[in-house]
Amino acid sequence: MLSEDKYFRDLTEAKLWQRYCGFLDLSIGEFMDIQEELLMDQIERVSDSLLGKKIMNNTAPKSIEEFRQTVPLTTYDDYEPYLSEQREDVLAEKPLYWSHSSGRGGRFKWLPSTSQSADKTIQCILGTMILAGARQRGEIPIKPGLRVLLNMAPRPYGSGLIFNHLSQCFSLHVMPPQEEEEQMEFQERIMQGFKMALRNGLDGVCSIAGVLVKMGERMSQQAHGMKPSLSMLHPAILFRIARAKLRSQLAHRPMLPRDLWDLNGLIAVGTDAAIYKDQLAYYWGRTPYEIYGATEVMPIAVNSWNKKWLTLIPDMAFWEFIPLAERTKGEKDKRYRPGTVLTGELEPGQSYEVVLTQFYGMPLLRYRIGDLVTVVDLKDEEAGINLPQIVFKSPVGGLIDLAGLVKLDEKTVWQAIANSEIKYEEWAVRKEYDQNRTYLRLFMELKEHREPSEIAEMIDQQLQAIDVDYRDVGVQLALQPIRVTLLSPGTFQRYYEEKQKEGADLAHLKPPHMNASNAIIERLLSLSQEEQVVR
Amino acid sequence: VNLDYLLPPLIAAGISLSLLIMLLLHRRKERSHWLLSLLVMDVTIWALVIFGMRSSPDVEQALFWDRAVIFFVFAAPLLCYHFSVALTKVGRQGNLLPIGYIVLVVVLALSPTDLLVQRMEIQPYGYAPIIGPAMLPIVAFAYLLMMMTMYNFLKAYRASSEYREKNRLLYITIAMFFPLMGTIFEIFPTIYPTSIFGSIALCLFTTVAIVKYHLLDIRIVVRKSLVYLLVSLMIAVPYVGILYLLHFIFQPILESWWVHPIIILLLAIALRPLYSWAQNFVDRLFYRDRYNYLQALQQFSQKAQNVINLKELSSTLTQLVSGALHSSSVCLLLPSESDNGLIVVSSTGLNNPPSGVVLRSRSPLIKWLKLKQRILSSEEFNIVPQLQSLSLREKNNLEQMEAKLYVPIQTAPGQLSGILVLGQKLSQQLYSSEDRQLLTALSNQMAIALENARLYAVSQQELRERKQAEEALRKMEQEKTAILDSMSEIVIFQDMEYRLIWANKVAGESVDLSPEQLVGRHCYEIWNKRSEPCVGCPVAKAREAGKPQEAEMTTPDGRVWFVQGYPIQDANGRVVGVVEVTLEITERKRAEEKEKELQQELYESGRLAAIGELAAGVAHEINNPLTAILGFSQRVLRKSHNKSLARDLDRISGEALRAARIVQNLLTFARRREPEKEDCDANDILQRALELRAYELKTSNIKVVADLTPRLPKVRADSHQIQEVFLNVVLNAEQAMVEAHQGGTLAIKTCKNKGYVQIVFSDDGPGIAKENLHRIFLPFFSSRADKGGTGLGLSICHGIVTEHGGKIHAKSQLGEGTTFVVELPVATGKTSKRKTAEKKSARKADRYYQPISGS
Repeated sequence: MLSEDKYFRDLTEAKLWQRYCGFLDLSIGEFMDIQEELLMDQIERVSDSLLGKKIMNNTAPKSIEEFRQTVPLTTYDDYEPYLSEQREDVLAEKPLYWSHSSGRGGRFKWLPSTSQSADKTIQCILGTMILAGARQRGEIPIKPGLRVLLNMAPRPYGSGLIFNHLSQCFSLHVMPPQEEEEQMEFQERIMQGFKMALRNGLDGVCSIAGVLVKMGERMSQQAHGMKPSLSMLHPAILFRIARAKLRSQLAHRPMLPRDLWDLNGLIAVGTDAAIYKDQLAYYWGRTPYEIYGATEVMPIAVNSWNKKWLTLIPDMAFWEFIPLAERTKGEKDKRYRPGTVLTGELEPGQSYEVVLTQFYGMPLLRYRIGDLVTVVDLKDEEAGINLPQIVFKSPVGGLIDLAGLVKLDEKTVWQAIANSEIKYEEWAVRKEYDQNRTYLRLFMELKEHREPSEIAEMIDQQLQAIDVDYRDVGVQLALQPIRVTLLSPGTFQRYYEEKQKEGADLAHLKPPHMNASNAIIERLLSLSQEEQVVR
Repeated sequence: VNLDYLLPPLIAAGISLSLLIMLLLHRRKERSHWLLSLLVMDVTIWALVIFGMRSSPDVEQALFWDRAVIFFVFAAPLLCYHFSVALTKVGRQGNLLPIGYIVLVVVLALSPTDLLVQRMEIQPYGYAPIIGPAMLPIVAFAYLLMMMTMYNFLKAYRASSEYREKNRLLYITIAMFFPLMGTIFEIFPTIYPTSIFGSIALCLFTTVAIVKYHLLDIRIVVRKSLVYLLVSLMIAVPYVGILYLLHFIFQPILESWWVHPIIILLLAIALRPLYSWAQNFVDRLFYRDRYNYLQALQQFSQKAQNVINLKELSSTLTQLVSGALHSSSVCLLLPSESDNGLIVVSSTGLNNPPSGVVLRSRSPLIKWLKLKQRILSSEEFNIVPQLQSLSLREKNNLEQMEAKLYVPIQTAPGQLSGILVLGQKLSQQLYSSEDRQLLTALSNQMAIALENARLYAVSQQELRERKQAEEALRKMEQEKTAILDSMSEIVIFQDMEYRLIWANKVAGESVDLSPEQLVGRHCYEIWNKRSEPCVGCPVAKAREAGKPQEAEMTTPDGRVWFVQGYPIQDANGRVVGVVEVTLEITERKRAEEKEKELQQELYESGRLAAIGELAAGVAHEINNPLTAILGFSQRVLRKSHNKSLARDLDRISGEALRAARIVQNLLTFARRREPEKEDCDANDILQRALELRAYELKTSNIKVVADLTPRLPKVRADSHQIQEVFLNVVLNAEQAMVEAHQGGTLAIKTCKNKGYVQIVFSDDGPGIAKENLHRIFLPFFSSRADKGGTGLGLSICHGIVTEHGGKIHAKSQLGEGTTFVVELPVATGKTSKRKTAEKKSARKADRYYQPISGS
C-alpha cells in the first residue's frame, strides 16, 4: 500500500484534515515557532556544505535575527555556477531529483530537491487537493484512486516531477499518464487528457488556468458542444455526452465541461487564475482553487476551502518579505541591503517582495524569488484562519512604473482587459515615452473588430475602476495614458510556431505580457501583416 | 409441550429484554444509543411474537403471528444498518437508508397479504411458513442491508487506531454475522428455524461489546448487575441447602414465619465477604489488564517511596513499564545536567539508545507535550502540524528509540519533568486505553518520585553547600585568627561595656595570658589595672563619635602604646562595639629619641663641615696677608732702633705668629688628607701618645692610670692621626685638671665593644656644663679662649675619628670630671673590602671636608 494511501485508510476525516490542512488552524505564534525550528534545522544541515558556507560566509547563525543580519540576500546568480552543472558535491544532502525551471527572462534554472522536501511537497499538494474540493472546514472530499486531469509542464519540470512523486505515494489516476504525456506536444496532451477524462470520468482538474478557460470557451462556442468522432464510440463516453447534453439543454445554455463531469476540485495555476475565477466557475462548475508556487518552493501559499485568499505554508520555507520602500532603496543603491519583515510582522494593505529560505537541507538561502505579494488581511474570519492572507501581485520585473506615481502589474492589466469584455487572442503591454510623456503601449490581437481608440478607452476605464492610483494619474495628467497597437489575426500563433520551431522552452513560446523586450515586440510587429495604431 | 421448540424464543426474549432494560436504564442522547435500544426492542418483540407463533394451537393462529413477525424481522437489519451509520460515522451508502424505511413501510403494508407469507405448514419441529412471491426481494434487500452494516463496521474497524474501539467494532461485526447466518435457513421450511439463535448471539455479543469494550459507555451498570446477580446466586444456593437440611431436622420450626428472615440475615452477614470476592471475580473476568496494571502501579508506588536514587528509580520505571505493557522498548528521558534538553537516563529493550541530548529544550515535541499534557501516539505525531518542524537530528533520535508513544511526566501544568518513550508492543497491537491509563498513572507517580528525588538531590546539595560554607567560614575564621595573631598589634573586640569579646594572641602575650582568658574582662582592668575606663581612651571616643579614633597611652609599667579605636555598627548604624588595635611603641619611642640624638649629631657634623669649609676659605684668604704682616713686621723690627716701636712691632709679630698658628690649625682642621690606614694596635698608639706627654703630665702632677686590655683586635687606622687625637684628648684633660686643682688622675681604659675598640679617657677635672657638652666638637668653641685656646682641637679629633669610621663622644657633669670615649672599628682583615669601606668613608668625609685650594 502506498504511504499516503495508508493515512487515508487509517485516519478519520478529522485527523486527515489535521495532517494535510492543519496549518490553517495555527496561530501566528505557532506558525513562527515552526518557521524558527525549521530554519535552525536548515542552518545546521547546510552550514557544513560548500554552498552553505559560501552563502553564509563560513558562519552558522544561532538565531533568526543573526541569520537575517549576517546572511546576504541572494538570487539565482549566486548559485548558478554550481546548480546549473547539477553539482551534488556542493550540496548539504543528496537530492532526490533535479527539477528544471523555465526561469524568468529566458534564463533556465536547475534546482535540487531532497527526499524530505519532496515528501513535504506531496503532503502539501494532497492538502491542496482536499481544500480544492472541500466546501467546509474538515471535509475530506478525496480518497485514493483520485482521477485527475493534469495540464501541467511534464518532467523534468518541477510540476511534472512532483506529480510523478505524488503518484508513487498516493493512488492517483493521472490523465494523460505521465509516461505518455512526456512524448507529446502540449496541445496533444490536453486533447489526450480530455479524451481519457471523457471515458474514465474525472474527480479533479489541475491545470494552467488559461488552458481551462480555452477549453471552456471552445466547448461553449461549438453549437453541439463537441465534435463527434469515432473515438467517442464508447458506452461510457456516449453516456457522459448524452447526460451532458441533457443537462445543458435543461439549463438552456451551450454544453460546458461542468455538464460532462461533476468535479470535486478545480486547481487553476497561473496569474490569470484569479482573473478568470468567475469564468472558470461558470465553465467547470467549481470555483477554481488557486495555488501560488514556484519551482524553488511548491507550493508557497494556497487558498483555503473558501477559495478566497492565499495562506502561506509554514513548513515549506522560511518566509521573509521586503517592503516596497526598502526594495526601492535597494534598487537605487546597489550597496544597500534591504531590510525584511517576517510573516508575523506583515501589515495589511502593504505589498512586499518575497524572500525565501528553503528547508530540509536544500540550498537556497534568503533567496529573492522575484515575486510581489500584497497582504489583504491578517486573518480570514470566514475560513477561521488567523494567519496573514495574501494575494499574488506580480513578478518583480512585471511592474510598469507609470509617471512614478502608479505601478501596474500584470494581474491588474489582465483584469482590466478581462473586465472590458473585449474578445482577444493575446496581448502584450510595455511602457513607452513620447516627448517626456510616459504611456502604456498595448499590443493586442483581437477576435472581433474594434477600433484601437475604442479599446484604449475601454481599458482605460477599467483600469480606473480597478486601480485608484491609476485613476489619480489620469486626473492629474488629464490625459489617457494608454495607446493601442492592433496586431493582425494569427500574429501570436505565428510567433508561437516560430518559437516552437526554434526549440524554445515551453514557458517561452509565448511573448511575456509585461515589458516585452524590443526584439520580441519587433518580431510581433513584423509578424503582424497589418497594424493599427491609435494616437 | 416441545421445550426445544418453545424455549429458544423465550431465552432470546429474556436476554434481549435484559439488554433493553440495561440500555434504558442508562439513557443517553446519542442517536446510536436510541437506535441500539430500538434494535434490541425489535429483537425482543420478534422473539416474543415467535414464541406466540410457536405456542399457537393451530395453523391459522400461527399464520397470524408469523405474518406479524415479518415486520420485526425486516426492521432488524434496517435498524442494524442505521445503527452502524450512526455509530461509525463512516458515511451512508447513497440513499440506502431512506429506501430501507420505505421498504419497511411496504413490508408492513404487505404483511397481512399472501405476498410475503402464503400459509403455514406443520413440520416435525413445529410450524413452518411458506413464503410468498414478494418475500425473496425483501429478504435480498435485508441481506444487502446486513452486508452494508458489516461493511461499515469493518471499515470503521480498519480506520480505527484505538485498541478498545477496534475490539468493540469487532464484536459488533461478529454479532451482526449471526442473525445474517441464522435467517438464511428461514427460507427453507423443512429446516429448523435458526434465526432466533442468531438474535440470541447478537444480544450476547453486543453485551460483551458493551461490557468489555465500553460500547455506549454503560459498563458500570452491567458490572454492578453482574456482581449482584452472582452474589444473589451464591446466597441462594446455600439458602436452599440450609432450608433443605432444616426441612428434615426441624420441620416444625420451619413452619414458623420468623425463621426465614433470621436465616437470610445470618447468611447475609456470613456471606458478606463473598460480595467483594464476587466483585473481584467479575473485575478479573472483564478487566484482567486493569488488575495487572494496578498491581504494577502498586509495585512502582512502593518502590518510588523507598528509592531516592534517580538512576535506580528510572531503571525501575522503564523495566516495570516494559514488563507490564509488553513493550519492545522503553526509554526515560530526563533533563540533562546543563538543562539544554532531555537525555536518555534509562532504557530497556534498546541495544543502542541515542546518546547526548535527544530533544532540545525548545523542541516542538516538548512544547506540545507541555501544552497538551497528554500522551501522544506516533500516529498523532505524524499529523500534528506543530510537530512537523522537529529537526532531523531529533527525528533520527526518536526513530532510534523506535518511539510509538510519548508519555509526558509532569509535576505541574506547563512543566515537563521528562518523557517516557515507548516502542511498539511485542504483540504488535496498539496501546489500549487501559495501557494509557496505566501510563498516565505511572507518569504521575514518576513525576512525584522525580520531584521527591529532585528535592532530595536539592536538599543534599544544600547540605553539601552548607557544609562547604561552614568549612569555608571555619577556614576563614582560622585565617582571620592567624592573620590577627600574626600581627604585632594587639587586636581586641570589645562590647559597649569595654568587655572583651575577642582578642588576638599578642593581646594575651602582652599580659602573659591566653586570649581566651581575656574574654569577658574589661580592657582597663587588664592593661591599666583600673576600675574604670582610662581618661582620653580613643576606644571611648570612637564609641561616642562613631568614627575611628587614635591616641598614645602610657600604662603604669611605663610602656607606651599607640591605641586606635574602630567603631562597629549594626545595620541601623548603631554602634555595637569597638575594635581596638594597639601597638606597643615603647621601643619605637626610645629609638625615636636615639634617632633624634643621631639627627642632632648629624646636624652637628654638617655644621662642622660647613664651618670647616668656611674656615678653610678664611684661612686661605688670611694666610697671604698674614705672611706679609709677619714678614714686614719682622723686617721693620730688624731695621728699627726705636725700642718703643720695636716693642710694638714685636707685639705685632707675636700676634701675627699667633694668627698664623690659628690659620695653620684651621687648615689642619679643614684640609683633607687621605689617611694612610694600616692595621695597628690601639694600645701601642695610646702608649706612644702618653710617652710623648709623660714629662708634662708628671710635672703637672697628673697621675695616669692605664687599664689596657691586652690582645685587643687591630684597628685599621692612620696611627699618626689617631695618635694626634689621643694627644689632643689627653692635653685637654691635663689642662682641665691643672686649672681645676693643679693635678689629678687621668684614667685610660681600652676594651673591645661590639666590633669597636673603645678607648675611654676619664679625668677628674671640673667637668663640662651641660649646655656646652653638645658644642665641644664645634670649631672655635673653647672654654679657654682667653687662655690661647683656638677651639679647633676637638673639632679636628672629631673629623679624624669620623674619617676612620669611628665615633667620639663625651660624657660629663659639672664637678664630676669628663669622660671622652673614642671608638675605632676593628679591622676586618679583608683588604679589598676595607679599601671599599675606606673609599666610602672618604666619600662620606668629602661631604664634611672640602679641599682647601691654594693652601
